[in-house]
Amino acid sequence: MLTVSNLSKTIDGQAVLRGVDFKLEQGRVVGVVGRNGAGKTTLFKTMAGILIPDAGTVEYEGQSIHATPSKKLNIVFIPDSPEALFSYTAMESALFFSHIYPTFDKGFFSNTLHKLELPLDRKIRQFSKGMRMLFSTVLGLATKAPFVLLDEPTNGIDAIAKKQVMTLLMEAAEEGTTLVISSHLLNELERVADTILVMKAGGIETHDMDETANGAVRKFQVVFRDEAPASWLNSPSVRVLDKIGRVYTVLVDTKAPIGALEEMGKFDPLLMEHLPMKLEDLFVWKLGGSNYVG
Amino acid sequence: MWVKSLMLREIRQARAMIWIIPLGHFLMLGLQRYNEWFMGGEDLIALRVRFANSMLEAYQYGNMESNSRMMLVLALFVLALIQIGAERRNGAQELLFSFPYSRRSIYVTKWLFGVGLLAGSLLLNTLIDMAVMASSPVSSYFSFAFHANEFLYSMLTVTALYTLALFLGAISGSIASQGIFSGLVFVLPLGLWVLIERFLRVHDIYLSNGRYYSYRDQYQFYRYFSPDYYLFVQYPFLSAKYVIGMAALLLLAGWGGMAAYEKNRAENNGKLLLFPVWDRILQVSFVACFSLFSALFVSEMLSMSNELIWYYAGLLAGAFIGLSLIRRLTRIRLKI
Repeated sequence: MLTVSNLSKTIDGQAVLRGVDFKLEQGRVVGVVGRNGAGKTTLFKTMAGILIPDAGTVEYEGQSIHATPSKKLNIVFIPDSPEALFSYTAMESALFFSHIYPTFDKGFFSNTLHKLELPLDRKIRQFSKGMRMLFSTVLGLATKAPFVLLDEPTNGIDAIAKKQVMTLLMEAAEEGTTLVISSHLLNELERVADTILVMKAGGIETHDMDETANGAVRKFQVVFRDEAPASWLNSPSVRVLDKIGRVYTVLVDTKAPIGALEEMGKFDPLLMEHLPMKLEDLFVWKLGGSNYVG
Repeated sequence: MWVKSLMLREIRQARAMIWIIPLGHFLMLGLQRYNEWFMGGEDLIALRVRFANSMLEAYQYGNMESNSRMMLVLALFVLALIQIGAERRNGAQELLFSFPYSRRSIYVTKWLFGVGLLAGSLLLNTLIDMAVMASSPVSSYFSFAFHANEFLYSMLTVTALYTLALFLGAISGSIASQGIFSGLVFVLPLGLWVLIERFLRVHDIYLSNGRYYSYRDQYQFYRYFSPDYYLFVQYPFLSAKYVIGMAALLLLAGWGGMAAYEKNRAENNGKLLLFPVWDRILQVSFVACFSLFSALFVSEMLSMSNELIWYYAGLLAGAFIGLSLIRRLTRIRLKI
């Protein structure tokens, strides 16, 4: 188990992580979402031991990875670009990593690269962006570390490469590797993740995907009979996702003490249809801010 | 502390230096010795032999070794830039820090690579030098003790200064700032001394009996902080004070560098310095030096009379400009 406890990190006087707490069990696929600058990369780098936390710990099986660096054998960080390996060929990179990670699977690495038609003898610098991301992902997964942290693995790559990366990740997840994936592509995360970590203002909230679908927040399409009730629409328990003519798509907090759902019924709308919640809806609900306009 | 995979990576990263350093060393030592005793006309060589009446003269008081030490220090300063400064911008440092090794192991491996390269170059070139001397027309003055002492002293001196370069790398935020701080090591002691002496002189405090004196001859204590004092010492003057000075530097820089690298704040990469405490020291030192230099410049250029007034005008102007300059400099993040 990977346990992050009370993790705090301030950079340039700004608190990027504030008392972050969560636990990751083996075999999970975890999506990390947040607005730009929310601290996702800082969190990953701190979890990987690249950054030293100001407070708190990252523990693998009860031992701090900062105090006991050998524990980092179990956590591999895949950045959004393998810049550090630009002067290496794919094969040289594999050789280098095999010296560091005793569990490195050279066969898996070579076979997968062959399957993806990536050259083993070409310098990484000469790879396209998509090829680099595929290479990085294969390299990280070949370490056979139980926890793999991926920072924007599908950012800026074409649809085919994206699909290949996601397939690789799903295969690894099926084998029991815990994947922690940061991405702005919520549709992808929705398909693969079973837990979502939402980062906001340096803190973090954990959500099961099941909870996203059937949790406290519900999504409705509503058409009001008369003028839309502004006070209800602006209440903290309601968020307007979209408005086309008189048709509103709203998120409603069903557990709010004011009872926004009951209030909506009292308006006797022409239409009040329950829609399935998506990860994007959760993202907007949690991170859209008070100025969000759908 | 020894990590094979990290060492292999260091070798790969700085592979050009593996032949540049011994070759440069050979050009400065073995080849020079060969030129001295084998190249040129017979008459010239005979003349040189006639003037070589002692072991010291045959070895030219160790000047070739001094020049070699300087070359080695410059080369190892470049190596330190590759090992630490360059890694900050190409993502290599982040990759290293994500590996299952302590930062201490990473730092020690870097240091061992540099020191190993130095030891190899020194050993190889000392053997070449010994062979040249033993086969030269002045082979009767061949001295194993000379070679051994020069080898050991060069090893200590260059290792100490290389360790200092690594320390500067460990506190600097970029390859550019590491390069600047490394260069300052050579000019700062004399530069500071000139500024302080001028400050005292405008206040009628003279450090000599007269107004005019030589920095070189009379006021040498600043030189104890200057690398060339240790690098260019001639063989007959080699004494315990040089060894103690360099040993102290080695210990201090080694401890400081290790501590700084272990606490390395990777999030500050690109800044002039990595640590706020060093940032503050840099700001104060920069303003002090800039204002003293400005005062010296203004008083030299403008003062026909009232030197003290012009000096303080320059000092104030320098403090103001220096402060705004350093504030800007410490805020920027260098891409190089």
